[in-house]
Amino acid sequence: MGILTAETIKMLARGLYDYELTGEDARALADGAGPLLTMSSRLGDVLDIKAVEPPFSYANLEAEARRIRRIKKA
Amino acid sequence: MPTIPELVALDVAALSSKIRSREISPVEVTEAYLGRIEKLDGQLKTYITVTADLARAAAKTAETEIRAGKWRGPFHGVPVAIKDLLYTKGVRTTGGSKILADFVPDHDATVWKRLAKAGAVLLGKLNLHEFAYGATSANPHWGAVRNPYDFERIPGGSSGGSAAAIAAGTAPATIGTDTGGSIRAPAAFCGCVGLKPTWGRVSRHGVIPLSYTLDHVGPITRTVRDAALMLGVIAGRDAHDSTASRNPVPDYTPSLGREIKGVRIGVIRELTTSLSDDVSRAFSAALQQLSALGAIVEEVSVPSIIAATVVISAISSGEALDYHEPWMRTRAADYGPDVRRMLELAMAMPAASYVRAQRARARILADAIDALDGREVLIVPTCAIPAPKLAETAMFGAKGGLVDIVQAGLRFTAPFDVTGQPALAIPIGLSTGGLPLSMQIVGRPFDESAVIRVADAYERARGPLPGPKI
Repeated sequence: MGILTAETIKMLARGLYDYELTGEDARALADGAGPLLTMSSRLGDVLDIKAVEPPFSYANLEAEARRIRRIKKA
Repeated sequence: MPTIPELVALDVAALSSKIRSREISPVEVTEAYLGRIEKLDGQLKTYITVTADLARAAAKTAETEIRAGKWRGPFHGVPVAIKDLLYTKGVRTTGGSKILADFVPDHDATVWKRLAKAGAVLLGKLNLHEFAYGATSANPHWGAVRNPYDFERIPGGSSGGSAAAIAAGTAPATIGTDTGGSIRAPAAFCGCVGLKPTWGRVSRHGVIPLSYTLDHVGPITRTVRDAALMLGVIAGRDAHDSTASRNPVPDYTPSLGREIKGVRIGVIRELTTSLSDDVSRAFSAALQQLSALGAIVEEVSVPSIIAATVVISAISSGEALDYHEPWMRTRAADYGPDVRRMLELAMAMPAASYVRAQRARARILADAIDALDGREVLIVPTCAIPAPKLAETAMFGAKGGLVDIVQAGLRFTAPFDVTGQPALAIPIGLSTGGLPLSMQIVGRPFDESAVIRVADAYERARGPLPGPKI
C-alpha cells in the first residue's frame, strides 16, 4: 500500500485544483488523510461488495433530465 | 392567559390547540418568543438572523385567518425557526459562512415553502457549523452556539442552533439537516427529539448541499408528537427535486398513543460498545423501559456497520468538494480553518474510493434490513458521550490527525445516513453531571410510522425530563 506524502498532496492540490498548500498544511493533511485513504481503499476487503453495483439509478438520471428540460422551457 | 415562561414551555401540539381555540393568539406567542430571543440569544448564539418584522406580520395574518375560521392545520400561527442552510426568499441565507454572508435567495426551499403554506410563522434563521461541515457549531463567523445545559459545552452539530433553540426555548420547533448525524447528535446533546427521515422522504430543493447523496432534512422538536406533525407537513414528492420520493406520505398521527406490547426491537451489538458510563447506564434503563412496555428486545448483529464512518467520509468529501471547489480556488481564506482543512483533505480522495464507498452502502443497507427481519425497529445510542466541552472537540490533533470526536460523533449516527433509513433521536435521561443522553430508533426505509410509534410509547413511559436552568 502506497503512502500518501505531503509532497503528493501538494502536487494533487496544485495540479488538479490550482490550490497552493503550505508544507506544514500538506504534512498535517498527509497525517490525517493517510489512514482514511487506506481504509477507504480497503473497503472491498472488509465488506463483501464483489457483486454490488453502485446505487446510481437510471430512473433518477431520467428524472433529473426531465427537471432540467422543464426549467429550460419555463 | 398563560405567562410568557408558560407560553414558551408549550410544545407545538399544545400551542396549536390553544391557538385554534383562541385561548392565545399567534401574535402573543410570537412576541413571547421574540422577547425570549432578545433576552437570551446574545449569549446562546442560536440565531444568525431574526426575522422579527416578518414574524409579526405573519402572526397577525394567522390571527386574522383563525378568527375568520380559516384554520390551516397544526402549524397555523405557530412560530418556527429553520437552519440557515435553507433558502428563504428575500431573507439572507448564509449557510453559516462568510462567503454567503450577503446572499439573499430569490426563492424558498421547498421545506420552508410547505411550512409557510401551513401557516407557520418564521422567527428566523438558525446558526450552524459552517456550511454544515462539522459537529461542533463553533461557528467562526457568527459565533459559537452554546449548549443551554452548560454554556461551556457544544450543542453538537451541524444543526447546533436548531437543537439549542429548542432546549433554550427560543423556538418551539425547528428544521435541521443531517449528513452524518447533524440532526440527531445536536438533538442528543441538547435533550430534544430529532427525526432524520428516510433519504428522499423530504425534498432537498433550496437546501445548500453538503453531500448530495447523504443529505437529509428533518424536524427537531420537544416531543415525538411534534416531530410527527412537522414531518407530515414537510414530506412528499417535489417537482423541484428529482430525488424526492413519490411514495405517498401517510398520516403519522395514528402512530401516536399506541401500545408496543409484542413489538420486536433489535439492539445492534456493534454499536453498544465503548459507551461512557452515563450513556451505558441510561441506555440499559431505556431498554428495560421498553421491555416493561411489553416490547421484545433482543440483540442483533450488523457486522458491516462498522465500515460506515469510512464510507461516509469517502462519499461526503468528494461531494462537498464538488460544490465548494469554485470558492476553494478563489476564496479559500474565507472558510474557517476546520472546514477548509476538510475540503483540502478531499482533494486527495481518489474517485475509486468514492465509487467503492457508494457500492458499500448497498451492502450495509442489506445487512441492516436483514437485522430488521421480523422486527419493527432497531435501537442504538445516539452518541457515546454527553456533550463535550468546546476545548475538547478539535477535529484535528496537533499533527493534523483526525481525533476521537469523529468516532464519538459519527460512529452511531453515520450508519443511517449511509443506509438512508429513518432514525429518530430521543432523550433517555441526564448524566450525573446533568447533561442530556439519547438513543436512536431506526426503521425500514419509508417506515417512519414504526419509528414514531415506538418513540412515542417510550416517551410517554419515560415522562418529562428536567430542562436547562437558564
